[in-house]
Amino acid sequence: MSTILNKLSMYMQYPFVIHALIVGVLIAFCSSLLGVTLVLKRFSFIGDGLSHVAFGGMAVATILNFTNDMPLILTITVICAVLLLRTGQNTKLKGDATLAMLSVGALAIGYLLMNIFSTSSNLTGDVCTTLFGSTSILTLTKTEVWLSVVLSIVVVSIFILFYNKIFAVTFDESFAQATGTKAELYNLLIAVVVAVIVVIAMNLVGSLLVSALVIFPALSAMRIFKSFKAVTICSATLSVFCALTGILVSILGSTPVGSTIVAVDIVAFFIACIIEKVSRR
Amino acid sequence: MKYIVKILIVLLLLLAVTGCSNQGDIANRVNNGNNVDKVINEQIGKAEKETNPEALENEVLPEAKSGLEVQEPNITKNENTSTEVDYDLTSMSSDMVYAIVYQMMVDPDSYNEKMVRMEGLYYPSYYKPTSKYYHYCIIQDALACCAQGIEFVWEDGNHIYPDEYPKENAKVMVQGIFETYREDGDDNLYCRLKDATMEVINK
Repeated sequence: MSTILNKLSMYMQYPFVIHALIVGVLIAFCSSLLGVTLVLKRFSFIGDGLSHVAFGGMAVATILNFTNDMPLILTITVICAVLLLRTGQNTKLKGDATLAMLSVGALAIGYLLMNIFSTSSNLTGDVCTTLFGSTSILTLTKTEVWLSVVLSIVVVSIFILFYNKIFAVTFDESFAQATGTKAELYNLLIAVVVAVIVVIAMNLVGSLLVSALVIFPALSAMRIFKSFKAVTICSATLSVFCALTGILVSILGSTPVGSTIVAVDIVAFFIACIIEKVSRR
Repeated sequence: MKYIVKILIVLLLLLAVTGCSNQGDIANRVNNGNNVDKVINEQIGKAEKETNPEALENEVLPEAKSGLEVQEPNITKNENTSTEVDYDLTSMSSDMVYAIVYQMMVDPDSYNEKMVRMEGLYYPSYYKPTSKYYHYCIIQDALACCAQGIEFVWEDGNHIYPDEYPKENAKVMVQGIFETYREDGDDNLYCRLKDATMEVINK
């Protein structure tokens, strides 16, 4: 045990480990906040779809040789989030079909572009890192760290400021609309915030595993608590705990960061299920 | 009233997050264990920037060599040479090894003249423009999809390739002093471990 602690204290002396922990905690916190809303609104897969779009955006940024690719990815993902929400209503293509189309389309086009216009000598490595995160969180630049911090603050601020409206739109959109709440506007806000979360979360777990970070903590919290507030707080706590545990386990045990965090989230979900069954008796 | 409370919470959150972001102390502890070393390195860096300001901005990985003339490398000299191992990558997890090697490539100044010990796969590479063989120690990340290599010069560099070197992909442990250098006629800055010792772990 002391060996592990000594190793951990040695690792903590490296600034990039501290950066990884700060960004990891912020990403986990933000994603879990919106996770509850997404699960309740049955939008669980929107995160997955947008993460694939973000992969396409990253491919474009890579072939354009952008030093900081985050602003471009963010713009593309936010535009797609808005389009996804708009085209989902009153069109021939229904929401889930549009999402599926956009998701696989962006993934395919992204990989195709990277293959045709690649400037990297290690294309497989680049794709693998983007999809599964690998050690991206440990290799963040200072700009990326600051951008993640600022975006996380924006997301948390929006959630706090519009908590009541988000709550109303989540539970009964029709009733919220009838009482004068601009439901469409708040849905749009949720979609944009989700797009921001997806883009910053790609650094932590990779684009394929982003939705796990959004869904698992919310589902686990729903096993134990029933009120919206309690579920949101529990989800945020659980998500931060799982992300921290995942990052520390991965750097101590030589495992991929993203997959380890998701594995910890899965374990937490099963523990929550057991707690639910025990508390029912 | 409720909105004022919410705005206050947001402001507090802003303060809390910006307040915990100062990493200066940690960076100094890790990268600059020797203050004299730090000052010397800074002065050398400054002098180099004055003589060739563009070159330092074109830092690339050793694999991306693009020089044209066959000449001896123009080594960045430093009088202060470490004797103890500053970065023992053999005792670290693969995630940490990958991240540290990445940091060495993007911020070589912080690691200049530091003794580094690492374990990886031996990989030789012949570079036509300089007609020379370069020797690398390759490390992989935990996902095994990304690999990075650090060039090393075995002792004084007089060992004969391939007779005295191990086979490609042999597991080796390399210990040497990290330095940056430039090839004549090439503006790129390269990284390598000089005066390195090499031990084959698994043939």
